[in-house]
This record gives sequence, structure tokens and C-alpha cells, in this order.
Amino acid sequence: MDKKIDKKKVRAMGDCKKIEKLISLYHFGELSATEQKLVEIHIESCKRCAADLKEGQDALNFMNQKSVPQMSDQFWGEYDIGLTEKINKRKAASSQGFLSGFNTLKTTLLNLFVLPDYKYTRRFSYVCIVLLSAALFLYTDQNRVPDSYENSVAGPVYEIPDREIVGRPDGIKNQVIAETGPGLIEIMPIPMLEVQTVQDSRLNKNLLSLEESLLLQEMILLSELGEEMNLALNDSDILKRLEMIDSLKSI
Amino acid sequence: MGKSQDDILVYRFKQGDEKAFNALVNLYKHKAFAIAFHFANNVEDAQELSQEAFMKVYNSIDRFRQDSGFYTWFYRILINLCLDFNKKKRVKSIPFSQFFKKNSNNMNFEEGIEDNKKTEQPLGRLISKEKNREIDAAIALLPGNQRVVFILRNYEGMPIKEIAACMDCKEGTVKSHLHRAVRKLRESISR
Repeated sequence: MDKKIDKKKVRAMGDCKKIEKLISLYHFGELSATEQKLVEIHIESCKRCAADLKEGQDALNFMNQKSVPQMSDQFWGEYDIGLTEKINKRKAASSQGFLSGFNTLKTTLLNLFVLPDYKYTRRFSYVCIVLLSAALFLYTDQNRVPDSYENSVAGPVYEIPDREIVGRPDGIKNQVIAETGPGLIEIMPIPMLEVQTVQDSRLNKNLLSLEESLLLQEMILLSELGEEMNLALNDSDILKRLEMIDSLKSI
Repeated sequence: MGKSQDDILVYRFKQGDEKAFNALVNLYKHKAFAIAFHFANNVEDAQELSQEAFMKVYNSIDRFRQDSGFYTWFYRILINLCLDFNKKKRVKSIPFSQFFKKNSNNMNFEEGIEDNKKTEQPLGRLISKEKNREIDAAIALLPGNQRVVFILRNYEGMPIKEIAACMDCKEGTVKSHLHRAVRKLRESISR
């Protein structure tokens, strides 16, 4: 029995460095049962480690004299209110941050127009933006090229004998119009005419479709200008156009 | 029970329930204040730090993935704020022995360490004030990680495992910090 205890003691004494590390955790009860017993056995026989343990405990006892003050209910009430106010302030500040950024951008854009500094500058600038947008929309709309008339050109004024051609004036941009009698066809730039309005014109037999008008124009050009025309028409095309002219005459 | 209660409150708060946030504040404000007080050494700063931690929670709850407990995440935020506070405030690290030498003649040598305002009797207040100053000075001597581990383990009784989770390190590292902190404190006090 004594030999066993002696052996244990010798083993425990042999490793002060290990014990030194365990001692700090010993104070806080963070050792396993085995480690705890190891420390206890070691310090029984090792004065140095025993002194270390005591010094550590004294230091902790000293440190534990510091206490956190006990705060009153009033303090905690004010604490909660203060926290809520801070959160609300920060919320408001973050939303303001977005608005202020937007306002900065708006001011920068407005400054680009170099408007005079008078009372209604802001309203004037908004109106300008709206008008510019509308103008841009209208311009692009007008310049929109219907698929079937991509390659068409503006038509000059021609004299068409014995032919009455009437267009549809209402709601048509750049309509085909004509006058009775000797007849003058005034054809506006083709891209501005809309297929839909041309199709509507077929309801009235007296009206020519845009395509028919175009063909007529071509034939007039051919008959008057002859070889000077750059139209690449082959014989079959010319025949088709002559047939069209005949059909028009019979309407 | 505590942890599951936290999970439920966090879930509700994420859904937009402000009352759940208030409940979390009520659950943790005392401990948060206490931890902050150990770092800041005065009531106002402790209040600011703990409130700042709650504000961070409020603003970034959506980023909390709940892969750890709420308290772990919250204390990590709080500790980081406290350590940043200490760095900014630059609490003077005066050797403890010098403190004792100077203390016999001059009571006002610390900078950035303020008085504890909540004591009852004048003499008791003086003694308490002195002790707190000494202790604050000793803690101020510790490096950041050791200070955190010591405060959380010694004053807040937080288990090593939880401290490791808060600091996002291994338990062995925490034990090492604790061991060194105790040794350093022992050396300071024994001079």
C-alpha cells in the first residue's frame, strides 16, 4: 500500500509544469475529476505548486471584490426608453440617408440645365423634362418605320388624268390626299403612313390603298421618265403593274 | 428552456414582431450591462456599449443564421464593441506596483478609469472606489483576449465551452488565455 502511494507521489511530483497549467483551471472548477485529484495529490508534496495555488486563489479573491453596481428600476426604465429612441433615430437617419442621396442626384441633374435662379425653377425644370420626354416620344413614333414601307421614298406630285383619288384625312399622319378633276396626288413620305389606315381605306371603293397608290406612282414615273428611272423592274413586274392600272380604271 | 425561448423570440423578431425584440432586451440587458461595465468601468459607458450591442442586433438580425445560440452571437457582438471601446479610450496600463506607490500620495493618477457611482456610505464609497480602481488597473494590464476570458469566466461564470463559442475559438485556447490571465494577475497583485 505504501509503495503504491509512494509511486503515485513520485509520479505527481515529476511534472510541475503540467500541474502549473492545471492550477489556474482548478480555481474555476474546470478540471475533470481525474485532473483535480492529480493536482491535489501533487500539491500535497510540492511546496512550490502549493504556493502557486495559494497565490492564485488570493489574487482571485482580491479580484472578486469588484462588483457591478446594482441599478435601480428607474435606471432600467430609462435604459429601455433610451434604447428605443436610439433605434428610432437610426431608422430615421438611414431613410434620410436614402432621401438625401436622391435629393443630391436631383440637384445635380437640375444644375446640369443651368436654369436661372428664380422662384419657379424647380417647376419649370419638371415641365421641361415632361415636354422633352413627350417630344422624344413623338419623334421616335413618327420615325417608326412600318415594315412594308421601309424602302419607300417620298412621293412627288403627279398629274393623273381622269382619276379621282381620295384619301382618309382623319387621324392619319401624312395621309394620301388628292383633288378631283385633273387630279393631283400628293403623297407624303411613305414611312409615316400606317398600314392600318391604308387597310381602312379599302372600305371605300373610291379609295386607293397605299400599295395601289405606290404602284400608280411607279407607273407614272415609268411612263414619264422612262429609262431615267432606276427602278429594277422586270417584265413580269411591269405586266402586273399594267394589270393594276386596268383594275383601277374599272373601279 | 432558455435557449428554445431565445429561438422563438428570434424567429418572431425576424417576422417583424418588435415585442419579441423587447423581450430579448429584457432577458439580456442586465448581463450585457454587467459585462460592459467590467470593460468600461463606469455606468454611462457600460450603458452605451450594451445599448449599442442591442442596436446592432436590431439592425442585423436577418444576418443571424441561428447556427449558434442567440446569446453566443449577442455576446460576441458585445465583446467586440467592448474591446473596440478599450482600444479607443486607451485605458492606461500602469504597472500595479507603481499604482501602489503612487496611491499613497496621489489618488488621481488613472486616466479613463472612472468612479463607480452607485455606493451607499461615504467611507464605504471610498473603500469601494479604491478597490475598484485597483482591480480595474489589474484588469487593464491584461491583453484583450485574456481580459475577455477572465471577465466572462470569473465575473460572469460563463463555462469555458460558451466562452469558446463567443470568441469563436477552441476550448484549449480559452483555457490557455485563462491560465495566462490568472498568472499575470497573480504577478501584478503580489508586487
